[in-house]
Amino acid sequence: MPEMRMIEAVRAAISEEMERDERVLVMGEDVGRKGGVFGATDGLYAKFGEARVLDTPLAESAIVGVAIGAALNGLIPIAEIQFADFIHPAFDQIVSEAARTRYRSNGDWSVPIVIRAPFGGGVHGGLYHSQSIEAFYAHVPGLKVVVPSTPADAHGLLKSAIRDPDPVLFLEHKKVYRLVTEEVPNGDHLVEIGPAVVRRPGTRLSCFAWGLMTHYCLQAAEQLDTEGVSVEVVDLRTLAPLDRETILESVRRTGKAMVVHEDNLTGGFGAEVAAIVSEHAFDDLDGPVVRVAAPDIPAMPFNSPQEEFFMPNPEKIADAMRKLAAY
Amino acid sequence: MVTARAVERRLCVLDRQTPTESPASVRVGGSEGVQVAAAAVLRPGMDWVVPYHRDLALCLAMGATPLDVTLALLGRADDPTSGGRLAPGSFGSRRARILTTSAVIGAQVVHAAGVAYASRLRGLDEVTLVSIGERGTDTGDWHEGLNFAAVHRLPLICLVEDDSATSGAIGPLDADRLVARAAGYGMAGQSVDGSDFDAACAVLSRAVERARSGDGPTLVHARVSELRSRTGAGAFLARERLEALARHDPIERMRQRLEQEGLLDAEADLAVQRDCIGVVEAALEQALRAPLPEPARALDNVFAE
Repeated sequence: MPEMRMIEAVRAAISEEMERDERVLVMGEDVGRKGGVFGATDGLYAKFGEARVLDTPLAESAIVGVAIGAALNGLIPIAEIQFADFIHPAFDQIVSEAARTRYRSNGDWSVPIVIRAPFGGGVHGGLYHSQSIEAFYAHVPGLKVVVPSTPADAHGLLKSAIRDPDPVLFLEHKKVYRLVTEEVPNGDHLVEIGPAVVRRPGTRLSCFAWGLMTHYCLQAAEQLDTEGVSVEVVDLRTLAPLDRETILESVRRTGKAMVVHEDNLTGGFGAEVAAIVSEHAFDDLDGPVVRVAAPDIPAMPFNSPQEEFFMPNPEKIADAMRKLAAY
Repeated sequence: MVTARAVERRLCVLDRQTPTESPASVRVGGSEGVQVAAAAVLRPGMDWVVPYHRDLALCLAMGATPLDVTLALLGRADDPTSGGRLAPGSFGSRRARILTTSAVIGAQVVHAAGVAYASRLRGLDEVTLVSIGERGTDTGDWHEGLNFAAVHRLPLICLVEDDSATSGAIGPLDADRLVARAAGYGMAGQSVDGSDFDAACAVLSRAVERARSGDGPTLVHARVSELRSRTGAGAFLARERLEALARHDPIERMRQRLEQEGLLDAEADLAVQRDCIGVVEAALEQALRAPLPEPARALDNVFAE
């Protein structure tokens, strides 16, 4: 049970799956000799060679599209998009092609690819190195969207994603890469795609989050605990398919629900969680469903004051928790 | 060639006869020569084809049956391409190694590069042919796919079927400039008369040799004529125009060649036409009787089940 940070857990999962199955390969900008801009593929080039750790041209539509073609001819590609902000040129390949191939061929073809993309802010990345993109893709049937928040989950979920017969978008929060260290189970320990996990049990309200926001919610819940308010924190981990049962079960116990994300508010994935809660747990609610999210501005500014203004943080989340608990 | 033409014509008649049915039409007339030449130089079931929406003759020659394509064109439940989900024009088959394709023009070119990359990585002696209409060469994915294939010297052939001389909405494509782009990518490129089966075979078989010997991808630009009797606005074409178009009919050119070589006479030609029409007629009758998909089956095959 080695201790790892999330970046090392991602690297270990890829390496183990490449050892286990020679059909698995990695492709993306600078994933080979350089080992990835965050080091997620560091050492794989030396270990597996350039054909399986492939430096691609700087063309995101081709990175995903070539991965799709390689998958249709028997490989299991892991395509890395260097920053989630640059995934948009591949939107068509992901949405119209990868997510639709099984459906449009009535099951004759399938696309077992993983698209890994570092996302999220709080690292002074500015408008084009900070975005949260999950809402665009969680909307798309045929595509799974996974967002781990811990090293062990990143390891177990990524291995599940690589073994999944359908396309998976795997979003890794870049600020979480080196945020926490924990024991990661060895070898074939998989974490199932789908189920959410209760990170902190509580009684007064349920707080739903993913990625970095899970950690911020846990910090806020810790603070609220000192004030005598017990908050449950649920890490959704997978946005598509979404674990509705765990969400509803939690809200039915606490009677109050809030969702936290660093994507901007309107049309964010929090709206879907809120809709599910109001549609299916209305009778159990003892307050409004609250969303804590970034303001509706185009993206996260580079300068510190405005970056802080944009991002939810433990203080902002704790304030929202206090208000909702007192409702 | 003759079977594909028969499918196109029969569906055109059907469309006029039953205007209330879902519109089912396909356009291939004029492009059959280069399409069947491509199939002739490839190994059906072993090499890969990534078609575009006018490749009926190519798909038939690579192993799709007349029943397969008529089921697809009529959106029937047993349509092997998509179970009646895709609009008419797409034909795919895993068995025949004809890739499933969308209606997004250009997207298939990067897939083809990926298929070819996988063949290389797996050590398989496979060639991939991707085709596209001339305006598809405007797209970003066309560029990204060819660039990727050229960088990695992949066993890929990109066939551009260019009918802009007869139907180009924004005028004819400058073929020399298109072929010159191949040199820019660092790959071979050549233009050919796509209505001339033998010329197309010669160019495409050199491209296959290049792919198999590790010399990388080839861009093949094929000039074809869209054979039709009306203008886009619906008026009938003048007699002289029709006669000019007929000189670019690949089936007519093949018939003349076979007659000159003493391999075909009028009687045998008629028999071929009759046989092909008969096969298509039987397939269409069967497809028309085949059931439409159940509404609730629309939920199937979103993910592995």
